[in-house]
Amino acid sequence: MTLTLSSLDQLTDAVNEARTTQTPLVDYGIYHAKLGHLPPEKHTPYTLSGDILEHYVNDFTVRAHAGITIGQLNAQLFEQNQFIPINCDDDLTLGEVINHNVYGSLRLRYGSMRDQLLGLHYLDNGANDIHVGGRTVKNVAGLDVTRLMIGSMGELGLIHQATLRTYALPAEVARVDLEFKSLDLLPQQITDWMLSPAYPSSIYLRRLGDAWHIELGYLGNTKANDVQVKALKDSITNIDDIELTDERRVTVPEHLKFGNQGRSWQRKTKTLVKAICPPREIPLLANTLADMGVTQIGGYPTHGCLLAAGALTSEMDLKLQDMLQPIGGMRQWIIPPVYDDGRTSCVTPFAPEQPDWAFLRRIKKTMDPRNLFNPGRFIETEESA
Amino acid sequence: MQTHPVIEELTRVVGEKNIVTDPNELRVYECDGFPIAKGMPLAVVFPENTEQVSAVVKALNTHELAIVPRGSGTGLAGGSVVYDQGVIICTSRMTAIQKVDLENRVAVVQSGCRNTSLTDAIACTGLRFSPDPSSQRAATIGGNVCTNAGGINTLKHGVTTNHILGLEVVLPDGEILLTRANQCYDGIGPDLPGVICGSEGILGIVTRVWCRLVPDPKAFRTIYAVFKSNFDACKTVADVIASGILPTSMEMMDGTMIQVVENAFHFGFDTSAGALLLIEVDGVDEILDDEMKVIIDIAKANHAFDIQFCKDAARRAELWSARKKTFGAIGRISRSYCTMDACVPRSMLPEVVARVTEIGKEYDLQINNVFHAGDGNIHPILLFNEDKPEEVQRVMQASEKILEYCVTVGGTITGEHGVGVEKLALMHAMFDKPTLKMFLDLKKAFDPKQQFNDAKLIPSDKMVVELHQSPLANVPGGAM
Ligand SMILES: Cc1cc2nc3c(=O)[nH]c(=O)nc-3n(C[C@H](O)[C@H](O)[C@H](O)COP(=O)(O)OP(=O)(O)OC[C@H]3O[C@@H](n4cnc5c(N)ncnc54)[C@H](O)[C@@H]3O)c2cc1C
Repeated sequence: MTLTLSSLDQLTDAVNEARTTQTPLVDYGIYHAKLGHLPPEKHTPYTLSGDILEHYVNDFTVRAHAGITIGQLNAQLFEQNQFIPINCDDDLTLGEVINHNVYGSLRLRYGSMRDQLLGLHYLDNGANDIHVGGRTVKNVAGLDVTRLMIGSMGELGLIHQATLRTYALPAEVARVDLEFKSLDLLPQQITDWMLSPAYPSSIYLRRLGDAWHIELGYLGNTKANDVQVKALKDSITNIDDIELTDERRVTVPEHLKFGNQGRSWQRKTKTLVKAICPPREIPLLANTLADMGVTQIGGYPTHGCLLAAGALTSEMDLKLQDMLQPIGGMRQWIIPPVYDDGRTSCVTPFAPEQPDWAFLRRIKKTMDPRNLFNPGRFIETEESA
Repeated sequence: MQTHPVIEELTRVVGEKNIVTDPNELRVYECDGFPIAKGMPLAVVFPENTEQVSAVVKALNTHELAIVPRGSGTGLAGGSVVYDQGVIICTSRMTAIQKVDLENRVAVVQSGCRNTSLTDAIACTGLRFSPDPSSQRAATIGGNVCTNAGGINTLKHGVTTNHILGLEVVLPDGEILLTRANQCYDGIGPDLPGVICGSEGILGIVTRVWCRLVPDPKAFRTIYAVFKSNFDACKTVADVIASGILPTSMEMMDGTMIQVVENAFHFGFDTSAGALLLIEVDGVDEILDDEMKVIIDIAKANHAFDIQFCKDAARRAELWSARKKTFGAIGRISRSYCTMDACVPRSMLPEVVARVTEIGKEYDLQINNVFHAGDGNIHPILLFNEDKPEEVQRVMQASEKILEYCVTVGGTITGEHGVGVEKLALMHAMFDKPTLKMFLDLKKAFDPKQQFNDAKLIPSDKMVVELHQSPLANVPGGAM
């Protein structure tokens, strides 16, 4: 049975119980439920629920339970004309977003969790409520464990509260869709845009049918958007390989739902892989995936990140890894292939060993010496290895 | 006097020209920009590359000597001061810009590269390394990383950690750790560079930095608004933030600072003013006038009596140079001063600055203010005479009172200068015991022998630094 934990008392009891019974607590989240190694056979699954604790409206910061979903959080912030610029699915909890460093196309303008997270509360092995960071926009008191927790996949402690920056809700989003005949032009084009008034707030790359589409978003008021969209159009007038296919104005909430193209392809799929590479190599990565027959591809070219869905085989995976390795890239399975025995597991390993993982194992041992939190999720245990 | 056997080993590693042991020369390294804490090192070594750093660390390990990393020594919290006759590893000869990769918008530098060296090297590319502490001409990028330095444009563009992709670090056992050291903007697993940023040299020595480069904004408006009182200026800052406009910077100077800067550099400031705000917006040229108008209206509503603005590059440069020269100018009115650093929620600024003034009166001290107002990052400057121990004592007490007050209003004891040795005692006001223990455990994961810049940033039972008990003789083994 999955425990739903909402109060600090419940959380404390759950951690104490886990310690006494030596039964780890496991929360793999929604979107990332299948990422990483399998949990140990004996474990207690849990989820968190929650709400906004304090919205410091005039300071543009908010403190919320980690169990609040991004949809709930933004719905309340919208009422004050503010928002959290993380474009991900509404049902992801804030905790999952932090634990997996989830970001979307708006990272281009607003950054990722490293830029937005100001403070955290988490429970450690002893059920102590550890509070790091704070609510000010600058803070260098103590070690920055707030940031260490980003991407930790729930392995270093049980995050239950977070304080984040919020931003003023821009009046509108001007969204422009461009079809690229070839992606070879893309890196230079992006650099040119970034150095000109056409600098967008978000860039999203998507394969639709046989074509590559780039969706650019401009978040601002009508006057600013008019200027920027004009600059964008001017920049592509003489380029035959780029065609403007759609242009519209939408609200920020609409844009957060991922432009025209939705995000459901990433959820309703047999396998989903996330590939990271230097931004310059996006054409190579995208073309490699397309040449292998992958049709569902989307991602963030300015940050060198693509997601590929469908039925990726281990042969395709090897090809992908061969391509990524020499350019310093890496891939991780978000939804790994299902083996014959029906158990979901990783194509070993779920991601290639990184140079800092040996050291991170030491940190896991320090922060979770009893292996109570998502053991083996990312740093394998004997059982999961 | 007998030479410590390690000196010979270190000399073998770095060469004679890269080691200082002469007590007269060592005096330069006795303190950093926080002159209250002083300690004499056994030696200062200047490695030229990562391998030398690693070899030096291993040699010092064998002799169980304390190790203190240092960049340019502009830190303002005593972070690079030595206890126990330890050895300073100074990165100031590791200055290479190893790679500028414009297509991926990444630069790889050795940690001793000065902040402006990188800025200057990429000036014509349209890109820049955004962190811009006022000390940027001197401070190293490694120092910026390890203090997570902020600057004037932090308000909109973020602090150092927001601009670091990856790091190479020599760990306390001499091993070389690479974390996210590539041209990628993402990694897999916990954000290790994130925790090394701001770690004040207690986890290891950063040897190379992968810096994110961002477009250098081309269009600006710079607003100069003069007020009768600090309160009105602070209220303007709080109101601009609450309006949702995100300026690049909002910097404030109080009346005395205006006079000091004007007398020193003759920028044409009104010396009768109570406070001055320098505000800048950047972005799409066509809308900057609208944003500027909103800001000016807010300033007027808060009784600004002189408002000027410019988009002219020369005047803009002059205004910002005035801001950056303030610290240099303070020396004209006081030989010794203590620059404090705290950060508070922006909405609390008017109350906080008023309380700082009151505390100054309570302790009979002159306190001036020049600070990153838009971030809520205050820098009260407490003037004192170093030769009067009783006055120094009052400075320490007033500082503590200011910081404790900032914590009570939801603030922090340091926004950008760090804890160093200066604020060790105040860590208990910010963090409870389990959190402090966790910091120490984490430090031990990096540095089990607690040999690396120990008793900085985290209060430690191994070494108790009672700075405010006896200010000028405060450093174990290194008092003067
Ligand atoms: C006039 C003046 C203005 C200033 N303005 C600002 C400002 O606007 N914003 C701001 O944030 N700060 C400011 N500072 C403080 C200081 O300049 C910054 O903290 C700067 O980042 C320190 O860089 P540094 O190279 O001098 O480091 P140091 O002073 O040499 O060291 C600072 C700390 O970092 C550690 N360290 C340094 N290099 C390394 C390394 N390679 N590896 C591991 N640890 C290391 C040291 O042990 C020490 O704890 C100012 C200081 C002065 C004197």
